Amino acid sequence: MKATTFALAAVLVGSIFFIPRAIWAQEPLESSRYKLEFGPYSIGAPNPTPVAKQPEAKNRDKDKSELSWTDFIVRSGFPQDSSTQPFELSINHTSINLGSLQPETPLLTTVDLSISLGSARGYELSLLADRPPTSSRGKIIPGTICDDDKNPCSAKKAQRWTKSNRFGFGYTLNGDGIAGDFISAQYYRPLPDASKSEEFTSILSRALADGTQKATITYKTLIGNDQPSGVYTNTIYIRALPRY
Amino acid sequence: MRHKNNSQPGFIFQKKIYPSYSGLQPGTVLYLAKKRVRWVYTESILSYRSIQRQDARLMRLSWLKGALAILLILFSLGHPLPASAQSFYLRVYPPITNIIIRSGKGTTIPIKITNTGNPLVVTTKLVPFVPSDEIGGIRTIDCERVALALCQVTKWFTLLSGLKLNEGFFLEKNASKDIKMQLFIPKNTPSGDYTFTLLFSSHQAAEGTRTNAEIIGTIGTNIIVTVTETGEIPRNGQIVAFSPLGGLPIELGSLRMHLYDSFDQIPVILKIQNTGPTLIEPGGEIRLTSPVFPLAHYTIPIQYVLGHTIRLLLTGGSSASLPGPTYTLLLPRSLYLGKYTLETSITLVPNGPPVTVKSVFLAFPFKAMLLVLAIILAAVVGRKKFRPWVKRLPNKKPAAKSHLA
Repeated sequence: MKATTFALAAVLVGSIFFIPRAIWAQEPLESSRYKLEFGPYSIGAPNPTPVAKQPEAKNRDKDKSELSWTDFIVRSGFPQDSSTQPFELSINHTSINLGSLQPETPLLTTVDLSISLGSARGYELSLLADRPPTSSRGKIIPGTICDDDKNPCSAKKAQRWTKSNRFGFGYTLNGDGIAGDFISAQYYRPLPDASKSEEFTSILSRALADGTQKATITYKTLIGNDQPSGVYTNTIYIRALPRY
Repeated sequence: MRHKNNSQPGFIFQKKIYPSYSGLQPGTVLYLAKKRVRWVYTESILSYRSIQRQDARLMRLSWLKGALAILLILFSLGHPLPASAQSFYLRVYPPITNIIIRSGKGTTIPIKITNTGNPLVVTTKLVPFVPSDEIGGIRTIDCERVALALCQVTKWFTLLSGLKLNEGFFLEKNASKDIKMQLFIPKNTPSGDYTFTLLFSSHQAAEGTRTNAEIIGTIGTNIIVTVTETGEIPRNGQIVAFSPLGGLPIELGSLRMHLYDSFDQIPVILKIQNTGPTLIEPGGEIRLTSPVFPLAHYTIPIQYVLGHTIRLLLTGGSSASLPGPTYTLLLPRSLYLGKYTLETSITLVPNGPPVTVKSVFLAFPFKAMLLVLAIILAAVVGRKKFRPWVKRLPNKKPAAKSHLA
């Protein structure tokens, strides 16, 4: 009895240490902009400009004698842009709990995304799943094809998905910069599937934008009565890349 | 447990009292703290030797309890936290780095990664990219699936400070890491642009015991390496398109122009082709001039155009955003009347000589004129149609009067 009480107390104390804390407001990045390291190149000339050979740098690394720390320019950020703000991706949940799925009852789960462009000039956010949700026995919840068999949705084209007898796994979007085919909250796409050699699909995008972009992904799971029971899992990759 | 009337420590085990010190005297009264049960130590319980053995046994038991507690704590560490607690907040600076470098030379590239979310194991990966569109979009190459020459080029890079590509490092909450990437360009590397993205991903989570989808977040920063073999950087580019879109194209001799309605929004495109092997950095402005005076001025910030590619230049604060149709500029709805001139002045590199191109369009209020015409026509037709009936009305009235008279 005492041992049980002691064990319980130990677990409680342990949990206090590992309870996730609230996310605090983001602190401004205080790093200074990286200075340009000027090599001997003359840029900005309309015609090709021959570069005069420079003497070796004094701080040359003796262990790497073939490296010469001259003859280069490193430019961080875009030209004539003094901003040093970072590019940031925020995802509020990295685990989507699909819980206990009930046949013919759609389950909706949401994930909030935020992209702070900082000194980037536009971005593209893409999505890819490693496979459809798959059980340990190899059974899958397939990607949705939406309501219309003749005009099905695909990884790059959203369509209406409202019927309760159309089973599958898909997502819809709302917010800033969403792909144009997500006409309303009833328009879904299946996730691109890496196991079928599909690639990342762009879902959010802006060119020459600034500020913060926000969007919400809503995942929908709908299974039929004949869906075998089991624990279904998969991995979804969300990737934000700045435009160049 | 606490002692009453006696400060000496002792303990109770299996409803028996054992002293932990040999100095405990018979007759000492001990109390079990919680149950308030009175126990009296008597010498007859156990011999001193037996007491020592029991003491050692209890010590072993307390060690077992301690070990159990540590195991439980470790178990709670390894056990997945509630799903709602997991998040991904990563920042990277700079979003782009351009290195101009001579072949056979090396340098380091500084990149800073900051985690403002939960503690995270971050995995780095360097992949080549190619342009996916004409407005700076990129398509990364998965070198595990596609064998491209560019994939071999990723070997130019190594991470310093004890880090390795394709391996993870731990990043605490609100912690930053300055990553130094060493770049070395082998000798005789052909001149050109070599483009890469350095990816930072959250670590792959263990497979759960419930139906769920794990999300792996990834953020990237682009690296453009411009290699020059000879030390020369040729900057060759040309404007391949500069005109309004839509409207009615008109050709008057050598003069080509577009005709628009006065109340239309007019999209304009400006495309630059880089005809050289290395990137150019065009920037400049577009001016709109009416027959009488200048109307508007739009700045084009410097944008990278990779070697042998075309780029649609975008204007700052214009409506050239995705998704939707893309254009350099959308002239706002206004009352355009007559001939207008669009003029762009572009430099291929900062402070270089400008290249100037003009484009002309005409605007008249066709829709309004058609409306007016339609109203006039309707009035004329209506007048003709109803005139006999209108004329008949006065004739009938006098006749009626005469009849009555």
